[in-house]
Amino acid sequence: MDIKKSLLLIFSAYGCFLSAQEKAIDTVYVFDNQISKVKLFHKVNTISPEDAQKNSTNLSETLRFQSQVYIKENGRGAASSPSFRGTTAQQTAFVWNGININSQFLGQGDVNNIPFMGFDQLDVKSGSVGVVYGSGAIGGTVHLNNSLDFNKGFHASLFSEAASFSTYNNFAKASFSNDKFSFKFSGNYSESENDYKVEESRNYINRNGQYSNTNFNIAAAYKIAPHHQLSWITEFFNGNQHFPVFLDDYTKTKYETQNVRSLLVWDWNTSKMSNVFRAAYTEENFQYFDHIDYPKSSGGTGKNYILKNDFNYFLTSKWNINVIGEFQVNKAEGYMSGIKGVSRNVGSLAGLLRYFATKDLRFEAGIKKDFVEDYSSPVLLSFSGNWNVVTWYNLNLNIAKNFRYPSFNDLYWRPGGNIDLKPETAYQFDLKNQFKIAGAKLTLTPYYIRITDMITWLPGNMGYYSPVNTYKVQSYGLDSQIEYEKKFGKHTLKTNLGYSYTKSINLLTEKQLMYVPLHKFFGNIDYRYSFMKIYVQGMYNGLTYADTEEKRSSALEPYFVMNAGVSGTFLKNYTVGGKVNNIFNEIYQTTAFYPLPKRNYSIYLNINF
Amino acid sequence: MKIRKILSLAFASALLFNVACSDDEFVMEAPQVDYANGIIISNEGGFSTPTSDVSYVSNDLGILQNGIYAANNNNEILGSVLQTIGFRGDYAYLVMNSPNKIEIVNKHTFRKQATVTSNLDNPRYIAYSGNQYFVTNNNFSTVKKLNVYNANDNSFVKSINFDRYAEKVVEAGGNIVVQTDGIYYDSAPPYAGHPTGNTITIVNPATNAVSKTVDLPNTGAIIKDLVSYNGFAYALTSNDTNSYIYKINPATGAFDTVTLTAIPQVQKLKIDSDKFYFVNNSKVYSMNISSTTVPTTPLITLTGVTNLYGFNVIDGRLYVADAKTFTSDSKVSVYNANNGSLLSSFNTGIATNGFYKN
Repeated sequence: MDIKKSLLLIFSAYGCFLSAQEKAIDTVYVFDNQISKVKLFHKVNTISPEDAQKNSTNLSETLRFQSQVYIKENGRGAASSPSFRGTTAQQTAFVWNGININSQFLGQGDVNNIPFMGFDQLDVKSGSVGVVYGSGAIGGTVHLNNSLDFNKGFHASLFSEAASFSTYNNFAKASFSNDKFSFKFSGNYSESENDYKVEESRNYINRNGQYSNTNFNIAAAYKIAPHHQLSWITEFFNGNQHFPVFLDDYTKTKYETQNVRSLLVWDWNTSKMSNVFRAAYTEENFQYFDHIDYPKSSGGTGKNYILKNDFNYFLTSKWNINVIGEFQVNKAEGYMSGIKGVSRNVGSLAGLLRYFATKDLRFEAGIKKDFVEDYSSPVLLSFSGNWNVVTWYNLNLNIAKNFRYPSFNDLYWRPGGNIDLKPETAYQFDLKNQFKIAGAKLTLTPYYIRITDMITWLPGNMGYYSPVNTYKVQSYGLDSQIEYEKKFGKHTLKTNLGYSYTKSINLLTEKQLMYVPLHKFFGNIDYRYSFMKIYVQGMYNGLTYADTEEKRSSALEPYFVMNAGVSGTFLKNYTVGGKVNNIFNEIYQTTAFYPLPKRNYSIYLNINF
Repeated sequence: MKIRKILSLAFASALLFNVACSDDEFVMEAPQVDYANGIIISNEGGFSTPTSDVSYVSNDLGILQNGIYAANNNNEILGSVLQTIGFRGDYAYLVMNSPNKIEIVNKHTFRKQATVTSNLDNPRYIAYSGNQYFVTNNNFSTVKKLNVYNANDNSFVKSINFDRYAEKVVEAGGNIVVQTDGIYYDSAPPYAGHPTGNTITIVNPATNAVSKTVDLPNTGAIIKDLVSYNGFAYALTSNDTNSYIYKINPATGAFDTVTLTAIPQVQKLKIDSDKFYFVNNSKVYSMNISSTTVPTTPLITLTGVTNLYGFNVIDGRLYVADAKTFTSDSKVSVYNANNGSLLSSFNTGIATNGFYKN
């Protein structure tokens, strides 16, 4: 019996809280080998490509309407940053097939420049996932995962959408697989004039808001011998964003980025052991133009060479040990930022011990030490327990210490970069309570996070800004969710509702952090009858302070935004659909002064070959 | 049907939160006042959010109004980075750096009268002479110029280009005096700053041409401020050991030097009633302009100030703005400029950078 089968056994034993993707683990190869293990000990919300198509504009919209994350967006499609549980964008990790892809320069993910049409499953996780995903995975993680099927033959699909504000979205995918070989290709092109108007919000016009992006994704896997598989995936992304200006006279600016991510994996599985060796290369390039007609004014190139080995061994049927070693070389070259020829070696060693006490009780303890060149970093620790107390109640505990080390800008920007910065260190705790009542799943997760040495850029008396370790932050709150799915005859009803309460306090000023709403609600309800499908989705965002002193008059007012769509599938392979976003014409902003669009429409066609 | 029920639940809870969040905080009324009867305060605002606006405080410090531009112009956005405000006749000129414009408002009502955009590229400061006004432009790269405009119809007259950054500009003794100096930083920590040249350029407004370039002594000190008083221009420079005040005769280009020995890194200089007022870190000093004795004890030692930003002395009162971390409203404190006693303090807007007598 190989390890996948024994894992499968474990999965099926706890099948009551596992989703379809995980059950099919023996026929679907997921590039991130750790994500299935994460799901054994953590609540992970999976957004399928079909669900993501409801918010096909960009990843910001998908996360805003389908997860608990707060997305701060400077106008639709422009600069955008996430916040989980009241933490910062740098404390959120974007993970592509198991690799952290936050910018080495900014330390954060640029949400609208992360390709999201090409993924096969989008996993959103609040809170720490333990020690596996490294620096920055404090508030939460967003996983863009790809997978490959075997024995599925040839498949192809085309998605084409036209929407308000001259927005066009095209996505094509083709795949082929037999019992040993699998191949997949996808390509995406999106563009928008994005010239929406919100008269009610100080006569706002989204001037200079156009964007376009292109993405290619190629993946292949081959079972080279019994127990051995080689897999490869490469992604290219090219994004062009203009940044909105408030008045015509403003200097118009734009931003361009080109990213390459490539990953080669060798999986070796025997009856008790699995070993995954990964070699990856990720590259980020960006150029900022402080005048759209002039040459770039600043920019940078970051290259990461990554080797990672993940060894997993079942000592007995109850004890499992997992050792992950990683070595990275990070190189960065800035343009007009003073970051010149930076090269940093980073090594890390992590150990995870899992104990499956009974079929209803399991534990995981993790430890990780990073070795960052010229830099001391703390030891990370995590502990998780998962217990099916009774058939209708599951209890899940997570405790972790993790950190974020300073970005290249924090360390090396000239002038101002501070090489003496300490990493931001977080201690956190959450306790998930999951109840199953009448086919509905109710999850209540209170949490607590304490972060020290927050890195903030402050002006000094030399006339430039410099980052310093400043205040402490204490975040606590409640994540809750209700999931319900019911099939009766040709009817299917699927419901996913989430509500978060977030208190995130700067312990120096005792005030709520900027752009952390106390209340956020999101909900998606899908109803399918035979070939027809309708959905509604809604998002409520409570009062959100836009300054650091809780000034009421400059805060974002609460808003409720609702979207809906309908689609019909004809002749089995042709789906035609339409969407209405912001049905009630709510005037709303996620960043002060940058309203998002009023009611808007889209129609789309999906063809499967 | 089930969906409706759940939806109405969602709506109900949305309403609930709306009610729960409704606020009863004091919202300031904006009674009509003549803004010429007080002090105008510029709030620079954020760089990426257009939070610039103007505050007003009456001469008796009894009436404070924030956001007077939006309040008197149909809630219109002023923009981001309000660099400075100039006054001429019945008008106030709001120089908007990032939006590349100057909003001209009536100084009594703050209602918008005209917008100037012609040939502006990152405008910084403004000065007036005769029926012309002069605006420095500096994009910290290729644009280093002084624009000349006709004050009667706001038409663009010409640009005068400089070799170095064009920063502060004042009118002194009928001349236009421009700070033409920039700063560059060492490439390694602690990134010490150095002057690029220490020059002051004098422009004759009758010919709109450069009449003189004044080279101040290079003591490694950077020009930090430039003010005009009784026909002379005063430039402040400072380094890590001393600070210097140069009294420049704009007609001849000759200058006298006052060395503020052992007072390093003075950042700001103002003159009121024949007294210099200057600030180093949290210490505010005053000194008679004809004196050569350097003060040893400060007039005021500011406490609890995170980021001293706006600073001025007007008619015997000293105004200081703490911009804090630039992410919330600034706190303004007003002191008696003679004895340093605190008269009043109040909150204004984001990054308060200037105080002006209207």
